[in-house]
Amino acid sequence: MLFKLSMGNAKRSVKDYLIYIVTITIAFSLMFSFNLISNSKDILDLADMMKNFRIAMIFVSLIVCFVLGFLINYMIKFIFKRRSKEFGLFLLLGISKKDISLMFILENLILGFISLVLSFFVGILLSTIISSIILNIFNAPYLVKLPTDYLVPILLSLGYFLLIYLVVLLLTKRRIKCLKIHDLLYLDSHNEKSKVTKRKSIVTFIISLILVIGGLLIFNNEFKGVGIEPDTLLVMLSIIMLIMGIYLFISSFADFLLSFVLKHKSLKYTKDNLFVIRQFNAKVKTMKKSLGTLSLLITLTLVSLTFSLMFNEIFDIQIDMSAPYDVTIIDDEENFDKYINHIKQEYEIEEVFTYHEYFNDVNYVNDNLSYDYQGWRGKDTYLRLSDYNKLLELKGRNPITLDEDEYYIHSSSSVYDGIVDIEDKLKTIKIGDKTLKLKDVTSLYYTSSWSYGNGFVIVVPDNIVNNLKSESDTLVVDTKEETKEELNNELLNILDDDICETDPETGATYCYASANVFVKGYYMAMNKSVMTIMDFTLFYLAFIFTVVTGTIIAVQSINDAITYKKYYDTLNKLGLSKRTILKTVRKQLLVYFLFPVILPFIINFSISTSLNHIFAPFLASNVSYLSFIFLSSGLFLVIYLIYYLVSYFSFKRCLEY
Amino acid sequence: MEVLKVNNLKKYYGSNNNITKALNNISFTVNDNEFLAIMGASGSGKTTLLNTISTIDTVTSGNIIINGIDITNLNEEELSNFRKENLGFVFQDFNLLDTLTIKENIALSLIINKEDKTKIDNLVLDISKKLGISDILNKYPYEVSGGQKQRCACARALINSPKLILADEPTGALDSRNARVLLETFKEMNEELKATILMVTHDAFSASFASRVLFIKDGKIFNEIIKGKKTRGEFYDEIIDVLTLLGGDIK
Ligand SMILES: Nc1ncnc2c1ncn2[C@@H]1O[C@H](COP(=O)(O)OP(=O)(O)OP(=O)(O)O)[C@@H](O)[C@H]1O
Ligand SMILES: [Mg+2]
Repeated sequence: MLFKLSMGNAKRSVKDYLIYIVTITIAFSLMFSFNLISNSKDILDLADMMKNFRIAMIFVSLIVCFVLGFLINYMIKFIFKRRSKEFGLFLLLGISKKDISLMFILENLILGFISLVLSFFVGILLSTIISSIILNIFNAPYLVKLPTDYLVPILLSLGYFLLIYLVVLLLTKRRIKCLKIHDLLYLDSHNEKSKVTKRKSIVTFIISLILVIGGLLIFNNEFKGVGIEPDTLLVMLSIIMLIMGIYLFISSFADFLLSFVLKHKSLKYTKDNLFVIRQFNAKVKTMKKSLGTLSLLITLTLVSLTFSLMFNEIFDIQIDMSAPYDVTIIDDEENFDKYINHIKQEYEIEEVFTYHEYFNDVNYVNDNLSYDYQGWRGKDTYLRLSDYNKLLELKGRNPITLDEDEYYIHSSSSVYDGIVDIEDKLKTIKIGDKTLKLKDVTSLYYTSSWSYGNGFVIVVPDNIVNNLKSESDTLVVDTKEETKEELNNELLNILDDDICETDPETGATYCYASANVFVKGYYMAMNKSVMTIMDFTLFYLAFIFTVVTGTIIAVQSINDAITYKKYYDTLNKLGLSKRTILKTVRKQLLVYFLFPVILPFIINFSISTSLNHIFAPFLASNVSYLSFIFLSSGLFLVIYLIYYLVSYFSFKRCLEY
Repeated sequence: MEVLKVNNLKKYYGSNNNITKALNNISFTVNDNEFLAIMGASGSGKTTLLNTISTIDTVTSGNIIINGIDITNLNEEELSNFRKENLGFVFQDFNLLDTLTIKENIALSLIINKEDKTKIDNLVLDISKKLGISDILNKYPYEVSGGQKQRCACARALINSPKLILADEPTGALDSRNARVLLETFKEMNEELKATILMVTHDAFSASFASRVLFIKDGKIFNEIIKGKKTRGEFYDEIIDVLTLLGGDIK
């Protein structure tokens, strides 16, 4: 009988809270599909780095469990509150609390279990879609194929499911144990009555603004630019201030808004303003804490989305910095034919270019550079102007010009500051009997394959190098097709042992193996792995956060429709047309949905701007982060809009319009 | 024999500077097989009195003795058992569960407490015949009328032959015809099934079905009248007289 009752109630809940059931089913499906993918051999074999996908997914799944636990706990509390009279009746009939909580728990388990089972099917479907996206990123051929290894993913999903429900149901059981019949029977009559005075709410509101603005300023101050190490304690402080600010803002804003509208007659009596604000105020008061948490989740969602978009671009640019040419090899010139022949077997070669690196007796830069910026080579690398310009041209950049007595330094952005620090000492350098003046130092579009073992190159007019020693030769090959990850190892195998150097003083031999080959395809595969892992985890989290937020606000608003149906009917009878009422409903829902979003949008904007100080050197432009903010907000809003529409149409259906 | 004895009962709401004396020293007894109505103006403490007797609410001081047991001394688990064995409830809104049939609603407490199946069936059939709802047993609450629902609630209250049936405004949600049917049902329950009933109402017509009426005002007993050999009409007039004396907003 208990089971039958639970079953009946579960069925009813599915109908009343369809949006909630759909949401947790989607969430479980995503969880399962990521379990499937991160355990799939096809995906893990794509690149070496992909092994980390599994670990990342377990970590992310635990966060998702936490957030889903929050949602499920919230919904159970919500359903319980709405059915409190029923449970009060059970108690009156002499049914023990133990039986009641058993029944309620059972019914929620049934709901959860249905979602879980459904998620296995939806998850498989999703996993094939996501797999195909990942395979596409790696340019790997894709056959529509169902996952093969189910055991581990199913066990993992089941484990997460049990973890969530165990905790939530224990909480529920304890909550029921503490309840009194009187409270149950009269629960809906006394809503959370907070006796906050107007004065106090304005003070709280101002404090919340101070906390948020202060937190953002401190954060901004800590991320001023590249190379300035942020103080962990201050960053933590700013984050704590932001969190507190968000909660306080949520709990005081509604009161502030209400008193503001009440004070201004023109606002107060315009259309349905007063009604909407009053309803909103009452609503917010009953769910301050949850709304605060939701606001926090949205903030995390937006920041992590923007962050991952920024990283994507950084990675693209990183490839350009470390391996801009299809193949770069540093070795003795006489070996180059071996490499070229090997490459020819698989690729069509468009262009071959070789150049030399030169060294001087005096190391003007390396000897002055502070230790933090020094590379392992310890010798300054010189390039001929014509070689350098050719390298720029291959990258699609404009050549530079130098006068006979000028030289030029191009450094990576990480070494740039170190060089600027010693610029005084570099005003002039001597090469042989010639004296050269420093024309400029730049860090734009530096490529690390130019100079092996240094973070910079010195560019001098062509004829100057006659006075310099040439040590290593570099081969640059441009192929027609994209190079593959494997080519890197193949070329390494051809490398001769002579890249090993024996130190004449100690007699020790140093070998610098892999660093002498730069194959673009290899770097791309590596970066793609990191990017895929990061994007999928962050987007996954962001999606879950968004749907959880959407669900809670939607459920709350639909509940309003049920509670206030009579009220709207009265308005209708009083002469308000259905159209006008629906307009009010739309406005009301808009306020509910927008309220927890305002602050996160502002915080996201500010934090992204701060982070941009650090990332800008690696991004295409100083303002490209704005497009990322725009994109991440847009992605969030699209999903959020779906929840808004669902709420509106459910509301409409409840009112039977 | 007395089924219920209320002794110097006090119930205060609020704290320190803002106390509402909802019940201020009330004492009375209800005998076996009595049908007692409690009347009073809105806010006079009727619901509070019923809630303390039905163990929904705790008392500030005083004793409530039902069937020889002082319920103010029982702990939560004992109260749960006590309610199951001694009390039946009928509310203003019927409080039936939509997911269960009428039959299951009536037998709910017995089923959950795992009574013997055939015994339950017999009890349900027996009681529903007496209340005239035996032909709707397999329907769901939303398929039957308000009056039928309330009779179903009565059946649920009666099924375990409680010592005392407590009803708060049981006719509140019914139209006058259904209200009359229900009150007659109450009378039958009282006369034929020998049930002891304590009913709160603000309506003189409903009260006139009782065998005794207790009036309360500002948390105290104000008056008491007994039907005795009077007809229902005469009793009704007498109730109206007391109400006029009592003053206030009662119809
Ligand atoms: N939970 C409570 N907290 C504070 N005061 C209460 C509470 N419940 C009732 N009261 C007060 O106790 C007094 C008696 O209330 P009660 O509900 O018993 O009145 P009643 O006679 O049932 O009225 P009605 O006919 O309107 O139902 C009232 O003044 C009421 O305001
Ligand atoms: Mg009352």
